[in-house]
Amino acid sequence: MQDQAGIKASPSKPDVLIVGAGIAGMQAALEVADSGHQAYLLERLPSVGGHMLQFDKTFPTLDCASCIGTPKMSQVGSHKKIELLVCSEVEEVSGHAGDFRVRIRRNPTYVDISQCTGCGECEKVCPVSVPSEWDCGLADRKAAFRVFPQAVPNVYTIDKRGHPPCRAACPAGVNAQGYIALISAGKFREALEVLRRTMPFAGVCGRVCTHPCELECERGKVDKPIAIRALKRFMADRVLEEGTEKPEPITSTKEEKVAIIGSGPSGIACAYDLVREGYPVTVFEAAPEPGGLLRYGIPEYRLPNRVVDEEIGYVQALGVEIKTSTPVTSLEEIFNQGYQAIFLATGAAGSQKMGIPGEDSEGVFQALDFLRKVNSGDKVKLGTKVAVVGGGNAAIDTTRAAKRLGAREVALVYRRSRAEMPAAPEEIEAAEAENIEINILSAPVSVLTENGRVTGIQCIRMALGEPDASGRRRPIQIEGSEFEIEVDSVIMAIGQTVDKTKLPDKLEYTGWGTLAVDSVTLETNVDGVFAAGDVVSGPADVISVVAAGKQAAISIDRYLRGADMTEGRTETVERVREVDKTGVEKKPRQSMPVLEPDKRQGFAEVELGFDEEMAITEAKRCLNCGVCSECLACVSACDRNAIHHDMKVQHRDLEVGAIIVTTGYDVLDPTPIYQYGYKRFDNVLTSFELERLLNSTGPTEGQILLKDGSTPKSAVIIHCVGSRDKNYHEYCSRVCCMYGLKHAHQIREKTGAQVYQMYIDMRTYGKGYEEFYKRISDEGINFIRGKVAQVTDVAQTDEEKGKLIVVCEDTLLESMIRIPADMVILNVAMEPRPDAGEIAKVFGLQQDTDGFFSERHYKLDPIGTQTEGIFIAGCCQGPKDIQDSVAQAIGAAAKALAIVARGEVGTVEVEEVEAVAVGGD
Amino acid sequence: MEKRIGVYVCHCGFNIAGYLDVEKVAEFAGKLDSVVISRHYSYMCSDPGQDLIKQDIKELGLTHVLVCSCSPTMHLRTFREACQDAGLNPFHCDMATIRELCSWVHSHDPQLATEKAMRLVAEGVRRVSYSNPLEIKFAPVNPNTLIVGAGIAGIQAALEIAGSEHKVYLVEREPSIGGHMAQLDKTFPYLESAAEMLNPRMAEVASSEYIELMPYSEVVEVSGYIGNFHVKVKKKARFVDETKCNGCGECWEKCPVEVDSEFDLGIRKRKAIYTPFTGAVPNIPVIDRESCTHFQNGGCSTCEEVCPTKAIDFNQEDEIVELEIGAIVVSTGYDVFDPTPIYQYGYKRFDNVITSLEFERMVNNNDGNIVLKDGSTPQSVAIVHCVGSRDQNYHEYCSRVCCMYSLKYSQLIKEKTGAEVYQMYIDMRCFGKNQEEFYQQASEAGVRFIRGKVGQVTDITQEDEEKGKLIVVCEDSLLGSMIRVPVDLVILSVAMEPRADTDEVARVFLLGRTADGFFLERHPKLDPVGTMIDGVYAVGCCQGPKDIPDTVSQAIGAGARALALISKGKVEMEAATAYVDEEICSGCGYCEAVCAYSAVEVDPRTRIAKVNEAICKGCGACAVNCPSKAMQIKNFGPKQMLDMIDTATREYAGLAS
Repeated sequence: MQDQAGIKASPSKPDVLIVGAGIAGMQAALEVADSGHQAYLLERLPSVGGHMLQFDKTFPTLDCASCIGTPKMSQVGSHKKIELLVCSEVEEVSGHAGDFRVRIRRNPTYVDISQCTGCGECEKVCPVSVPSEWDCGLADRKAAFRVFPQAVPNVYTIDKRGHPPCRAACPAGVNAQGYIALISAGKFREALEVLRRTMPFAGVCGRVCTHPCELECERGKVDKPIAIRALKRFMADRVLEEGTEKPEPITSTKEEKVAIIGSGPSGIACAYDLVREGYPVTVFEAAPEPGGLLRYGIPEYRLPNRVVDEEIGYVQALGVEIKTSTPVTSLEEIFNQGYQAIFLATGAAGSQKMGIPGEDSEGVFQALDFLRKVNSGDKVKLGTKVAVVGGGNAAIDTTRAAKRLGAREVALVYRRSRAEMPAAPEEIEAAEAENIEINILSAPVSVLTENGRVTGIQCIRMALGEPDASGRRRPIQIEGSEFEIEVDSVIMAIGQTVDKTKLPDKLEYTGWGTLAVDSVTLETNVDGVFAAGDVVSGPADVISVVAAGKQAAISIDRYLRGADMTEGRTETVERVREVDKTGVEKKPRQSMPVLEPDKRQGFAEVELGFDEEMAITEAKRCLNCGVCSECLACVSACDRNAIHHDMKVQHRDLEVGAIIVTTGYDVLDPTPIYQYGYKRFDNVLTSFELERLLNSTGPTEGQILLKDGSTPKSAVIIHCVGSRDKNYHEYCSRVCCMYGLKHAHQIREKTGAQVYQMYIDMRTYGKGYEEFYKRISDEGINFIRGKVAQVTDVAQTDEEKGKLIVVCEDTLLESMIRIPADMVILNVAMEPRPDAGEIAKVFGLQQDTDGFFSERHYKLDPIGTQTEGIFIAGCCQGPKDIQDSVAQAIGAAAKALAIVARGEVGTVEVEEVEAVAVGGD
Repeated sequence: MEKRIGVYVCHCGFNIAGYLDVEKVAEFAGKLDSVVISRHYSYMCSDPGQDLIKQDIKELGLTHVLVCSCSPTMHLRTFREACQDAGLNPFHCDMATIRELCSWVHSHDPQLATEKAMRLVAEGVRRVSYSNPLEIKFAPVNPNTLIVGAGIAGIQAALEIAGSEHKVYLVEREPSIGGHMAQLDKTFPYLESAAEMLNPRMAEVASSEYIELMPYSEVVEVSGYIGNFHVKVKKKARFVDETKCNGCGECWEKCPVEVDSEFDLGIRKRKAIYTPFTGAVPNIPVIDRESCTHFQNGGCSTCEEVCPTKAIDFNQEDEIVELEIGAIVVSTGYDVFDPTPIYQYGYKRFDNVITSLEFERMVNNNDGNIVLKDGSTPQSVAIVHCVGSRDQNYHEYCSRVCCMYSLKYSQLIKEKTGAEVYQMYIDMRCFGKNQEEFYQQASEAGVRFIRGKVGQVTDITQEDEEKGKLIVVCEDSLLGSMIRVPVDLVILSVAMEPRADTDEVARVFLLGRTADGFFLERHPKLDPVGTMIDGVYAVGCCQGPKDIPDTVSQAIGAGARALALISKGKVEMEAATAYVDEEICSGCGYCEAVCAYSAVEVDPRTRIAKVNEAICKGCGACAVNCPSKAMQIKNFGPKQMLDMIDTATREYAGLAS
């Protein structure tokens, strides 16, 4: 075929793409742009600069990296022929030399670059601090940040990793990380506002929420989850204490009136969302006070009525009208009053019956009736010995309420084991603390009566069989194990049902006796009527019914607008998967202060809530899983309206004639080299960390300090950590000897400390390098030839006490030596980027055995790759110093220019040549 | 017009602020005449720093700007561009160097540093206040490139430029291109044949329509400036008509005169008419008139007689060719160190002490056999590292390639002779891609590594087993004892050093040199291929020792620079040039005589000096030599200078106290 092929000249695209904006990428871009061709300079981070700008001084001239780096950055930023594409990655490359098509993904920075002035107001108000990658974790940065002060482009970026686990776990999607971050910054009112973006029940959920968020909390993998519920309560209480201002009523912007039947948490949540959408909303409540089970189902010692009043009052103040003592029996009646949609949230207030003998005797109560009376302040004639049947929260509430009403002995009877009890574990514990007797694996068989009065309850012991439909193990009666408990009152708390008699007719029901609705839109069989909450799901926890009410609000809004009610509703939120927990110290979870059991008189609240100090301490334990908490403090701080938290990934396609890959290197993490003690000893640091300490813009403003803030008197620099080592990298990293010398000089200059260099071979091979070696030797640095065996804190002599001891073979003396030092610096290897494999795939590059990108020919084409038109330069091709990187980058620009400047490329024509994809599988 | 000057004092992180009181300097500057705003900031060169200046120009209507920071070579351009962006003529912006001249040199005396900075700032304010707006002009760029030296660096650079279809003149002093690489056998660390890599490239150079090969030629004169160099090349007489010669080889086969071949370092002979090696490019012989009997006594004309194309021309003369050039790449390479002066190593005294380059030629000839002078095969070989390198008596620098080529030799010796090989090294410097692995291979192959500097090579034996051997006496620094290693062959890994005529070449191209004698790059980090002369690039080993990959990288880089220049098509000219006050000029011609750039000429008719602004660099030599002060430099007038001196040296109340 070859001999039939002709050379065909095809036009070349004039532009060049450079991937990676470290010193190599910047240099290549400037070369290309200076010759009049358009250069696209793509960088994954928010700023150009790369590793070089992290350094303090450069060897061997000791001129500062900033002095030579920032002008380059500045030039790159202002060059008319360079377009910077920061926070971007290349997804796909197709085509051939002279005519590549490149698909670029621009990751959202949530800041409009064209509007941002770099003023830093967002950073000031951002409550989230995370370890700064730029400072190697030695200092913190905010979630709204600028990589470093001289960043180009000089704009801020918001680091958002996705939904934190707590938020993803919340059925209602409450942004817990958001308010926790603000609490940690002492901004309690702002914190409450974050919660109120989702729902009005901070005080309610801060007390009774089943907190699925805490189960998912990543902090739980370190020690204990954040006390999210307690923090929620704290901010609600705190703001209530300080005095809340009534919110401005929301002016209705819409004409369609919505009726909500039932003022429980589901109905109020729905009303809250709809009123904020601008709908006129009326809530119809049969009871004399609003709140549903919040008010009538949960005893005051757990949820005081004033909290319910406050939070429902807030919703009313926004403009929601609540008509109490107004039962609704007919849907037509409501529609006739001009309402265009109805939301049924009437709950499940009916009680289930056990169907055992004696159940209807005097002295047998239904839990909900009992609690309603207790919460309404009505008199209840209860005996002194009470048995409560059931294992849910209502059952526990009932036992504790009974105790408070004066019952001396209260026993709980539950047919399964403790593990199957639906009640919250902390509730069960609290009940036990109040001397409630808990009888598990016991089922009542009959209520014993004498003269129509209860005298006891007969039970039978149960064993657990195979799991049933609910997934819990089915209880089986043990024949002949009957026993009796002597009581004078029995309270049945075995379940709630929907009371169909109190609902309008025409509605359809499920086999479970709950209302039948569309699972996504929550529509009932009657047009314009929606239902959710307990009436649909059966008894559920507060946060679930709040979530259901919010979903109903979405449906109703769409219904009234005539929009598609299903679109986008089934998408699940993707939670942040990887949360880096390295170096997180264990800190105890703040425990909730409670009223001592013997002081629990009447219905005073048992849990007392955190004080300010506890709350802030607890909030500071948050790992900030999503980094940005979406508290939106930055949005209000930004004068230029530059921040948009809803920014999405954008794609852009470029056509270029040539591509230069300058994606750089990573530094080796020496933690696996256990014997060197990195991360185990405070004052063992990597050479990179030392660079940041030395840098005047670094965490110590250029001072070399030990962890305790003192100045080291002696320092050991260990060469070849991870380099020239078969266990890690066999290759030499080329630069460590020289920067080791530079560091020795700087340490000596800044602290006067004794400095030791433990080396294998001194590789000072560049221009002026040997002379530098000589100069540093003359400065009184100690050179010890030998590989370090270990760094230990086990002292053998007095002078070693409190020091790190570097144990090393001095190969010139042929003996083992021990050097006590205050600080140990590990000259860590340069290694390929962890995602070098993926990058190689995208660009059709090959990797050598070390993982660096392969050049086309080691000697004669150190810049070309196996793919024509794609060139490599800098440390992505192998370790090298700045000058070699720059030289290579200039070369790569030459190669790229040779293609684009000619204006055409010769392609071998073999019949019809299709554009060949260079990347992909 | 009222002058409104802005002064900006830079902290440069700690570089300035760490040693002098920037706040005081700024406060002081604020009180100077015409200064309307004085600020200090952490990094003036950063974008926010530049924005400060731009904003003040717009909001405060500044007419002049003085930035007090580093040296103007570093950032004058940066700040002038910033001013221009804000609508100010860039020449109304200047700098006071308070870093290099104050904080760095007086780091131990903050008060002195601060006071000096204040004086420099005061002086700078006066200087900039005299500035006139100047216009930047551009000169066109000639698209032709000159490359001097056709080793692998020159060849690579030429191919790069020719590849984008621009004309290249490739000048080579020797009769053939190829350089040192043509003398090498295998290359490290992959043991590929140097010839296999080089020959195709040489052929490509020969056949490229864009490369004009000028072998056996030397550049004798360069004038002009970036984009517009005028170059004179001396084509040395070959005494062979290139247009007629077909390279058949009759002449050199029949030539009766034999002399040592320079290419083979005397290991082989060549004739008086010769090509340096088989496969030379161009494949045209030259007559060495020193050894040719025709030129000695007119006796022999054998070559002329046997030449089938009548190409021999004994009357040929050296010829000067003049070229117009846009960019120049200097790639004149290196020399190998002659170890004869290191008496104790016995080079030239003992037969079997040879240099590394001699070893290359030995392996490359002789069908690759490694033999002693007597033709026998060595049983043991010592390779002595750092001969002339890392040695204060010769060259302090490391030659970068010796460790690796020595490892390569040990591989070759082991492979071909099975001899015992000793490496006497100081540090093993195997820092390149796959080089550490190559070192490992050699260790595993049983090469003996002895860490220590060799004391001497001697033939004085102490024991029987040493008899007839060369004894390498060396301190084994790992054992801490002196050892004696008897061997048959000693290879000295000699240093790379600047060419013997580097001085002359530097003079012709106006290049700077480092203390080591190599050509000086413009910036060791950020411009390793540029030189202090715009449009002249230095690459490869003339700029410092390096291996082939690094040389090739640099050569490609220089190609990039030349191409960038060509594709831009124009260069910015110096704006602050000399000018003549024609009323005063007496036409004495002092200015013309001192101008290093030939930019000044006295009109023979009017007897008035004229400045060619395109060439003038604004150096000021003419101005200081002008007896009547008719010649001056724009923005550097005598009144201005006196005012500056006055300002810098006068008394200030309470300065820096």
